[in-house]
Amino acid sequence: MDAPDLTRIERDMVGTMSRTSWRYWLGLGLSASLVVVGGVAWSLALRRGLGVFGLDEPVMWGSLITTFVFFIGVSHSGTLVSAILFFARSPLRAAIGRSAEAMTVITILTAGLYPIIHIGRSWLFYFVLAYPNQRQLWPNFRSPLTWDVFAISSYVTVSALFLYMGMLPDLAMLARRVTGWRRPLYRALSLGFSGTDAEWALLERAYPIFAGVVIPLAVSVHSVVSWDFAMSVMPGWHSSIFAPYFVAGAIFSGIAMAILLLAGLRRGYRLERYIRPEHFEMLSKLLLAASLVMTFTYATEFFMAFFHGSQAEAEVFRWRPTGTYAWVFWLVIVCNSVAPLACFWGRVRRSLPALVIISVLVSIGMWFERFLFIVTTLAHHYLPQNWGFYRPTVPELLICLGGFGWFFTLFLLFIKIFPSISVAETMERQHAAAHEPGMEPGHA
Amino acid sequence: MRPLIAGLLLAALAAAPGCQQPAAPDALAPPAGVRTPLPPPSPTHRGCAPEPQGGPAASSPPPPVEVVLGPPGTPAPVDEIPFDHRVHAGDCAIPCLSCHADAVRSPVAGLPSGKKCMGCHKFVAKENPAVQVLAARVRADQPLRWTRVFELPDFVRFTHQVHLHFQEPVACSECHGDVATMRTVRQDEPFTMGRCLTCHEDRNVRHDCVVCHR
Amino acid sequence: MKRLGRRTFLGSAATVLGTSLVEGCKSRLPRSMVPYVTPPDDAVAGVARWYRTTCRACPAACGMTARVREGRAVMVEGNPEHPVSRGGLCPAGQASIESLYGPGRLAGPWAGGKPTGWPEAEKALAAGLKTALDGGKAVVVLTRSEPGLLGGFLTAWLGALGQPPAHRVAFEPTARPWLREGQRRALGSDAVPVRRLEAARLILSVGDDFVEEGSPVESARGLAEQRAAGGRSIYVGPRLSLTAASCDEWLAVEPGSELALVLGLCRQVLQRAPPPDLAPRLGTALGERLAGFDPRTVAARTGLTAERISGLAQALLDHRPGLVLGPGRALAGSQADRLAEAVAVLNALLGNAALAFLSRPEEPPGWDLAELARQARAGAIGALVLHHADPIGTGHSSLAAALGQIPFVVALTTELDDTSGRAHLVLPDHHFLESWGDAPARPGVTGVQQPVMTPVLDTRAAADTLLGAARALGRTAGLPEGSWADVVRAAYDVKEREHGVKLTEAAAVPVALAPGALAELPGPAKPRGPANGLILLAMPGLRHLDGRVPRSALLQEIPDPLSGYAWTGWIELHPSTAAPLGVQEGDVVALSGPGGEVALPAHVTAGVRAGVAALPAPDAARLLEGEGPPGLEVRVTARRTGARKPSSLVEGSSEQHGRELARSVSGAQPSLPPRHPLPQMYSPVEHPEHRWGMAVDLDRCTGCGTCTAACYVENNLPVVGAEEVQRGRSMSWMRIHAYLDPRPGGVEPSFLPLSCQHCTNAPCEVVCPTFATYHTREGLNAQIYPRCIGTRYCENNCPYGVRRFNFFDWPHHGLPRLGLNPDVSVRERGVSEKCTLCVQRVTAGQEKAKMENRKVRDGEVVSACAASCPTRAIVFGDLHDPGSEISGLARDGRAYRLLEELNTQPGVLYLARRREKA
Repeated sequence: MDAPDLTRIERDMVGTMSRTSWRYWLGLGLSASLVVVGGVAWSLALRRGLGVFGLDEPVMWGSLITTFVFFIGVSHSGTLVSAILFFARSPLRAAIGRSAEAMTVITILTAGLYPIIHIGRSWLFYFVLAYPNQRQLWPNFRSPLTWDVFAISSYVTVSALFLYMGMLPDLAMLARRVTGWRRPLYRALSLGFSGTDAEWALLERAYPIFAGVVIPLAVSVHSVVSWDFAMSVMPGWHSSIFAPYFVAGAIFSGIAMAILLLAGLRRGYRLERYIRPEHFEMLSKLLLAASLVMTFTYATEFFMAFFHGSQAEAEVFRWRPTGTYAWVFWLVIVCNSVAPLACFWGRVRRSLPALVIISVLVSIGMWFERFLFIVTTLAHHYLPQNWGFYRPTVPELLICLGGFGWFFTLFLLFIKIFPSISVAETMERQHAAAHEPGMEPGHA
Repeated sequence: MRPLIAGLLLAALAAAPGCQQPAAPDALAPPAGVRTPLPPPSPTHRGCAPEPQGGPAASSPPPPVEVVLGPPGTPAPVDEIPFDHRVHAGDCAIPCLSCHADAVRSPVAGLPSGKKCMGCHKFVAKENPAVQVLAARVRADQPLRWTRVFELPDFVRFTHQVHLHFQEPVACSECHGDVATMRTVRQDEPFTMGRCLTCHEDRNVRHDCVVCHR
Repeated sequence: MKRLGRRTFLGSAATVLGTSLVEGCKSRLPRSMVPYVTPPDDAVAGVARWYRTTCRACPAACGMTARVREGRAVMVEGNPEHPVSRGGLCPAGQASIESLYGPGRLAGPWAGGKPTGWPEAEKALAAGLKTALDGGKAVVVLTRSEPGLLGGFLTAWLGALGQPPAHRVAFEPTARPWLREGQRRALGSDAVPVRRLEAARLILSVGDDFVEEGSPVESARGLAEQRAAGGRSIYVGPRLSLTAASCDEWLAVEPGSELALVLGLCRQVLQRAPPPDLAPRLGTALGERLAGFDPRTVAARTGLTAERISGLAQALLDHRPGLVLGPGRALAGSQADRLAEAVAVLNALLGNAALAFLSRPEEPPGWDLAELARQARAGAIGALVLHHADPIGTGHSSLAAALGQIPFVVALTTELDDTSGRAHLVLPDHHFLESWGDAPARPGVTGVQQPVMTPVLDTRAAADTLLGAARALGRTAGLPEGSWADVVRAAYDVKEREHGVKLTEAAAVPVALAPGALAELPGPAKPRGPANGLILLAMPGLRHLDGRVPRSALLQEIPDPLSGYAWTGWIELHPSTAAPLGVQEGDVVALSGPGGEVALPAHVTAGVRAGVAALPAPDAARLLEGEGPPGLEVRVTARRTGARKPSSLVEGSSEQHGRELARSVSGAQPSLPPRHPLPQMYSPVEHPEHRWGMAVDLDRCTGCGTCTAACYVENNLPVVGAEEVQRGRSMSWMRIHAYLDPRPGGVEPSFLPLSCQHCTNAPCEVVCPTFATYHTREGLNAQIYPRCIGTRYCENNCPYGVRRFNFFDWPHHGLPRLGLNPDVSVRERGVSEKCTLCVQRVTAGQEKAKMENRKVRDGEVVSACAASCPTRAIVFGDLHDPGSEISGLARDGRAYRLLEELNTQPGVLYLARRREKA
């Protein structure tokens, strides 16, 4: 196959930002309207009270926290994957790194909304921040929720910097290329990066540091989120497997989301040359591996529940597959454990439609998986007469949808304003490919 | 930062229902409020003893006070009587507790009853128009309404009794300011939690939340 | 129009924001202060005062103490000096604060459906009476049972109008006339039987739900002390009522066969150990009359084994003094007289040792409702004065037509009901907390009523209204001079008024079996009843005494512990009865009876006999033509409607699944196995001065729900309404869990009053990100509302599920503003709340002690639930003080903590229930 020459690459990349198809506007319009709908639903909750949600005794966390955990999960693959690929010197990175990192930052910004939306007095959410005040009050540093605040805020900061640094050369390039309002913007953002060897050397030295910092952070953040549940005394939550379980789940759902976004990008901007089937094949292998890990974790949970002999624990795990929420349980099993098995076949791995379907299933499955362990534990814990039931109401679901709308709105804006594929790295690869015979573009 | 800002804005808009203080139980329903057009107290005469004979006040007797009954439950925008703490607490140096006597035996300091006011004003400053209004009201068995100056939100519980019970009691002025110098009482600095805390710490008394918050 | 620019937008946004903040944060406290003109000599603003009076929510007339702040009653408790109620109260009594300020109260007189002034109303009353008297028609007073001064006054008033005493009709829907009739037949005596449950070693209740009807507070206390003394109790009846659940055993005999059982027991007792003082001739006579009731026949009839029956008889003989009770309203009907007679005979054969018979004060012979209706239809009645009596609303709908025949009906009451709603003239009476009066609880014990506050509304004492009318008519012969208050003040001296009770000597009456006892008996064979259909069982209950109380939102809100239903009636069906109908728990079932049809959700439970449909008395009344309680003759047919209306517990389980939550000890194993303290990584929490806690004795709890009601009133808990309760959003801080665990040969009921456990290692405290909840150094698990942002993490992490969340700004329809407790803040929406162990009472007690420079005495601080508990099942105190009562209980072998394995180390401890089986 022909290797695209450098000018072509540059043109294509800039094209993603200048060319705007009706599809783009449609997508943007849809997601933006979702945001509006969600906002209206939230304002209802703010005006009347959380009673408009389906929450009641004893299930006090529902679809909102589910969506929060889901988005945190999605966020993780992005930067993590990109950083790992960076160290693995994988060609895949040139293609997907940028959008994956962007996805991370945006999903965290989305996830961050949900805790604020779901608390009873959103207007006082700042009580969880540590700031000196005349009341001499501080947050409770023993509470996992406080840990969340710190973990998530540091993660979003580092991810944003990682993304930004990677973008510097491109921004500089764009500052030269584009005209109009973008020009001053890129010039300002590129911090005067002119591409001298010294600057490149600095960048090469700084970048790995961030990549190195991001990986442990990514792991830690989702562990911390998992401790929201693992630190409690509730049967089905209070388990030491939760941290690895959440990290695995995060990577799992993250990869699925990455596949979806890349497929969209590829289709929307004719980037077949840069995002190649091999890339999807690699992702699908990762997906398969993550899915197997998840299945193993589910099995372990059940084994432990019946093994360590707590009556309440065993009851919860008996109830999950058989009780009121049995359908959720089996849905989760099908989506997360069964569907990805198809990736054992090479033809599935190489067929984009198949992968998209699987990824959609996985995303659904992962949302419901969070829903499952949050709700069933709360609905069915220690005192049998307290056992209850939870059904989300319309406003609640609208707010969840609004979150997705918010996510896609920001992502679409991002790809319109910033290069969604690293121009510099792609060129680098092409250069290498051109000079070292036997090395196929896009092949490690 | 985007979610935080969004949260802030919407939260602020929601604050309207948000930070209302819940309603506190009402006191007895107030009876007919009484409006009285009053001459401003003459600057020359604000002593607490009757003016010596031949004084300006004696030479020009105050106008007769006409008492108008308003519809029941009319809120009093201003005090119906221009009560002057400078005279009572200042010139006459009446101790706070002799009028706000409940402070030592109850969470609330309370206001003196009409009868209690008349206890002195049967003899003192009888010709003062304000006092005559008071007398008329007490005769008619109608209480006066006073505007509330100091108040705490419903979720804070403060008890005067305990604060006056220490070896060195908290002086009223520490929180209420030097009312002896105020024509009408005003709250100089707000009752913030920080104020309570600093004092509690200085005196090394309990200051965990449940002391004041129920 | 000018298009919205950036600046304009930002500007307007800022304005909106600012104003909304300002608006929102304005204080809602009253802006002006009103001092007294003449201060009451005993009132200090901000300081609560307690006044004794007497509860008139039901005829039991328990002693009551009202807590008054700034001249307003805000809380009621029992009167410990009252020898009958002994400091206890019932939910209906607690609800009297609600009825005092309730929205349903009449604010002034009404005439012809329009509000009017008192002068006009008085004229109208006088005129109405005058026309009746001039026309030579009768003037009749229809009142609730008024055995005290007021009764006498009404008779005198009628006398002054030239009416015979018989024109005073006393109507009491909860009365059980058959008990008196049966005793008259068995003992030939009309004396008042005083049942000393605590004195009995064995209580056999024949369908008598004594902790729910009659004088529930007294009986519940009696049962609790009888159990504490190691007594046994057996309940015979078709339904596992609260009473049955509180007894050791529930014998679900064939409905209608209770009489045969009691007679069978009489026979065996007579054979094995005839009382020495029994005249031989009477003995033989009884023997002959009872001959038919040999164990085998009775066994066949009741469905029990012959051994079981003779065992029961033996138990009665072994555990003397024994006490047989019944029948209650559940077994009302044509058999009731006979059953009561048989019960009285059995008691007499056992020696009547746990009964005291006191001479009954003579009462004027009054008409009954039937006579009233007859006279009314005959047009003989010219004027009817209704006084707190609502027969139409309580199952006597047939009276409505008769009422229409009376030209002048005047109602003296506090709220409009089905009967007074038909009155031509309504003259509102004071609430009993505002009025003078008295109410004898039993001969020798008279509760004195004094107003605890000035009336909230423009009302007048009924007696004064009637006095005024009589004076206006110039007929004052034999009537008192002054006002009604003077009459009561004259009758009771200051001391009696202060203590709220007057004790006099009541003459005991000797009783013996009458020769004619058991003279005519039905055969032991099953009577011919309509075979098909379900037996209708009207259950009495504390939340709906007689259909009058359900107007109380508070009592509606508190769910029935056994079924979990609130805000609605329900139909209890045995699984074997429900199955053929295809009825599941929560399905709405339509019952059709002779009087009509009611559709209510079904509660499918093993706690009711097969073939019986049990539903609350007020709902049952709607199934009948409306002639009092049904008894077991009435048959109804059930049909599934297809609708569903499950209770909030529908997802919950009524079984403990072996989790040992409500534990029990047996006679063989009187104490629980000791638990070893669990290891923990944190250093133990210090409680330097106090460690407040509660002890709940499951052996004493009867599940009455008084603690819940008291908590609502004391802590300003909102009443959230039917829909929200059904969703499981009830805000109750103290709930009663009732578990029915399947056991060989029936179910084992247990109650578990559940409030915040005030854990030393509280899971909720660790997880709160803002320190809104924390452990005070006195052991309270404090909840700081202004700091709470409502993450609800605490509620998720509470293994006991006792935390509540304010989903809305709940309206306090149960308790309007005046009735709110000023010492407890009203919670804002979005915050979490829960039992505070009545922190306001704890601090108040400590401040009092501090003022007097001493330590807090044991028993000085009492939580609201503990204060009102009729059986003293709840004890509040300082676990830190080794001398305190609660510390003693903590050392008891029955003491345990809930979910100890979680090492939360609760400050609330439970004492296992004693289960004696023989």
